[in-house]
Amino acid sequence: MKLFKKDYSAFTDENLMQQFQEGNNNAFKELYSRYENYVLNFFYGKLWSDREKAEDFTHDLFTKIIKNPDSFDTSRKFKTWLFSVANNMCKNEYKKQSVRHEGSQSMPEDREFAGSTAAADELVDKKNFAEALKEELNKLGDKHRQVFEMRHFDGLALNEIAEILEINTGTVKSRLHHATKHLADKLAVFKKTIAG
Amino acid sequence: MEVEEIILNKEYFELNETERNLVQELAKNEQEYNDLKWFLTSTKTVAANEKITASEDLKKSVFAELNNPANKRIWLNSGAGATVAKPKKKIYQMPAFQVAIAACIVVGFFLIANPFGEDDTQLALNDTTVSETVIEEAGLDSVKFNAENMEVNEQLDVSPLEDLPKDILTKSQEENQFYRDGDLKQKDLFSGTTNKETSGERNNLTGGNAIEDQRNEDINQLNTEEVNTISTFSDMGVEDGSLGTGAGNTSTDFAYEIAVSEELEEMDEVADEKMTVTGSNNVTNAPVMQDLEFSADEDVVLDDAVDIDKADEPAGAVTTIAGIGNMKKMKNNREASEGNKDVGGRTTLSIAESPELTNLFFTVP
Repeated sequence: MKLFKKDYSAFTDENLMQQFQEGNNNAFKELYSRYENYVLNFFYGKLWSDREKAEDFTHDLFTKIIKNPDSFDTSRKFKTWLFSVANNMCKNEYKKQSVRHEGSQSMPEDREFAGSTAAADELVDKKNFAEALKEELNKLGDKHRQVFEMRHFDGLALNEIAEILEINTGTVKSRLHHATKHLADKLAVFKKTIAG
Repeated sequence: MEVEEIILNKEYFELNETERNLVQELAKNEQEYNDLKWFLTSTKTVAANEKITASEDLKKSVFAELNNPANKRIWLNSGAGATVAKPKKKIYQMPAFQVAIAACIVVGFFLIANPFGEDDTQLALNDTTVSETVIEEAGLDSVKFNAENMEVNEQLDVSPLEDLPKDILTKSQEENQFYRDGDLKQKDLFSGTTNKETSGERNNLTGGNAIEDQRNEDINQLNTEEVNTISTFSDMGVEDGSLGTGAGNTSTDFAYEIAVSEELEEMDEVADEKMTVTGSNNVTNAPVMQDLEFSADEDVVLDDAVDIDKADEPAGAVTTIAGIGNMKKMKNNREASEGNKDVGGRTTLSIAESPELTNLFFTVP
């Protein structure tokens, strides 16, 4: 039977989506298997590491695609279109909940990264690096945090981030450099601890 | 390769000049480079550890939504559906529609623009009225011919009608009736001849002119009587024996106009008669043109009835020439006959001298 089964792994995302628009459910299943975990972790990272909420949003996203596949423009890249929809869902959720993590004020572009050694030691004592990273990410502005998470957690390229966020690639690069340097300076104390 | 990837994959001493320029934006020296390398590696580890995997329930719920009949979509790219129905294609993108539009444009161009410039008048016509056309031409020729005669008649030295008494003018109106009566009589005279007899006569003409001469004499006699009829002006008190020109021409012209109009009417009647003769002349098996010539004989008589000058023509000279549409030929023969005036003879008899004509003319109601 496998001889007669079509191998959809050779198709691009756009071809699969076009086939799904024409009524081929198997094409959608292939797409789902490709982006299931990507989308879930995207929501997981954006929605405060809430797994249940992330799964609900993932379900909603794919349901939207099932119900309205024609909303996809085949001239666009499917991956960026998919994450754009997911990003907009997160924005709506932000507005809906009006939840802003305390201390998540936007970071000035020319902000000097200078931290006290005492505070860093205190941070090392209390939390491990992962928690410290999340905390520092939440302290970053939305723009910088968003780019950093997309780049290092979701594995998106700079041009993909730029397309999803509908901004220039240079802006993405600038924001990413600022966020990386800021977090690296804030979390440098852990290097000493881990190395020591 | 992006800066983060360079930092993660290479040591500082491995960087070339281009990579060092790129890294300068984040790490100005080897120490900062190593710190950044440690941070990115740790972040990558945290990100990998933070990854979650979708549960099986999520997958089932999504696929259940996919298989929901409300969301079912017909997969047409299999079997006959792929060839019969072409989804996601708008009507103007379909080849059949495009071909139909192109055909409509081409046909519309030829219908509206008419690029070859065809003229309907150049198209062939199914003309079934040949004989009628000939008759009309004959009528025109006859009119021209009579117009020439009218010029000749105008040259006649007639006295003005002013000098004529009123009773003469009254009589002249009566004489107009004589024209018509005379025409009718001549017509009746010839109508007494059957088609069969006439055809026989015509056929005999090839052997001799005996019968033809007899007919010509009869016609000549009638023409002479007609001349006498017209010359009654001089017999009715005109001093110099001629009709006037000036004011008297009104009456004369009126007479000619009547004659011309009557002649045209007679031409129409002759045309009808021709049709009758052609249809009934089955005895001689003669060509149709012979029948037409026979019918034209009556034409000649009618012409002569209104033409004073033709009164002296030998009837035989016009018997066979007054064919339909061949009045020029008749004119030529007339001119030839003028050379034989002495043969045809001009008899200048007055109506008063002929008791029969007097009775005939003055007893007409």
